[in-house]
Amino acid sequence: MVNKRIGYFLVVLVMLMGFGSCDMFVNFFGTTIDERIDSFNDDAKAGNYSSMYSHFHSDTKERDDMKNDPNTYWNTTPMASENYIDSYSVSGDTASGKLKSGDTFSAEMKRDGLDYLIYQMDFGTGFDIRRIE
Amino acid sequence: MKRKRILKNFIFSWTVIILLGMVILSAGAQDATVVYTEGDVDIDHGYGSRELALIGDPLQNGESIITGPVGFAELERNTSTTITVEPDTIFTLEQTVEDGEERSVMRCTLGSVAYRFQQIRGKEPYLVTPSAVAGIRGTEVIVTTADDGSSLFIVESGTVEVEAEDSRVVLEAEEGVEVRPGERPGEKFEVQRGGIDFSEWREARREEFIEDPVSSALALERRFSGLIRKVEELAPVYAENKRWLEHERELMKKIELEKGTDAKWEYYREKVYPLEVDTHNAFITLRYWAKSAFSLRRFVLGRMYLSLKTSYIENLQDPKFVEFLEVYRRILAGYEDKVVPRLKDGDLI
Repeated sequence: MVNKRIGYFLVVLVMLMGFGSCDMFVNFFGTTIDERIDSFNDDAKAGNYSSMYSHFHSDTKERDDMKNDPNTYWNTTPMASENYIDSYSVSGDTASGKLKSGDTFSAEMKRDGLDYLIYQMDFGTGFDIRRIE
Repeated sequence: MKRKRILKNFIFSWTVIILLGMVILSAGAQDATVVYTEGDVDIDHGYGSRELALIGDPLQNGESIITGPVGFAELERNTSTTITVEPDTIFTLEQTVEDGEERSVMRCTLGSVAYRFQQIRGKEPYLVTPSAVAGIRGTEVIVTTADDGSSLFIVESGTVEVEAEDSRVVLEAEEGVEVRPGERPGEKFEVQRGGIDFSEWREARREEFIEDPVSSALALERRFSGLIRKVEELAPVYAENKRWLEHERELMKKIELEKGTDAKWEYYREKVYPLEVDTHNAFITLRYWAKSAFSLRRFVLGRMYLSLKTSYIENLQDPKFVEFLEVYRRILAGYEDKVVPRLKDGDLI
């Protein structure tokens, strides 16, 4: 009887773990990809460089640089040329679209709990790609 | 009974699948993963944050593995590279930019690291020590660094090109070379697998340094001068790029007022964007050389000073120690003057 209960408990646990990875939970309780990209863009437009690191996942290599020296960091990105995100669409864990200049960008997103955060961003086309990673 | 077994198998399978998925997802994102530790092993995250390394921990660019006297760690990178960090070692993952392309850097500042590269995706990483830089091609190589900054490269398979002071030596399997700070690579020599006792070599280097500290300090000063030269070459390039970028951005705004938004973005694509990329690359490269000098100052020069002071503690007026101190202070002055302004507060913690 006890074994049966443990069995049911494990089934429910496994199901919850499965559901937990569903976007349904993210939509209700967390930050979606769209919300993250929009608030990153809002901060960029407002020149809030010192808070822009908070949109990036802790696995992003340059996050400490963004946090500790935001002006130097963001100064060499399109954001400092007022070239913000103009339009985008989301496919899977990637947001991609166009900047104001018409150039492309793509952002690879990564979950931290129920929040989507930016893991890596590429700006530009062809060989001349500026990567934020 | 049968249903119970099916249920058990079902639960076990799903648990394994979910756990494996979690491991795979977390492994794909990082530069290296700690797969084994023994004894004292820490991860230095930079910016003053250091914690115990645990199996499964990621090691990212800018982070170091620091092993204690009985510490040992093994890391894996992209499942095709194995990095073995021996006791009393400081190993750091970094990156630099060369010809506009990012190159991974594996730095052994102190101690001994063995690398096994089965398959390399993209550009080969550089193996860096305080005294030399090595490029690799399909390789098993052991890199050892002594307290005085000297390094020993031993190739077990593949090819390694070791460069120091603008001089190169190509090592094939079962060949080795010693490089002292500020000097060109020595003569390469043949070595049988397991034929070298690295701790003996490190101890011999240490004894030689205690016996003749001035020569070792002068050699390190030459190495420092080389790094400071790099910093001095790049600092104006970065400053000029930055200034030019600001100028071009102002120009872009004027173009918008005079010729409209389309003309502005055309100008951005042609002039400003390439300058953003160049300025970023100049910054990364400048920081790489400044951090190389910092690493040499902190882990090699600092240890040299401590070792020597301990050895001469009963006679601090010994001419050897006094002369060493002169060179030591000269190195520090150059470092404070030329390198520290290029580092961030977090780098110095």
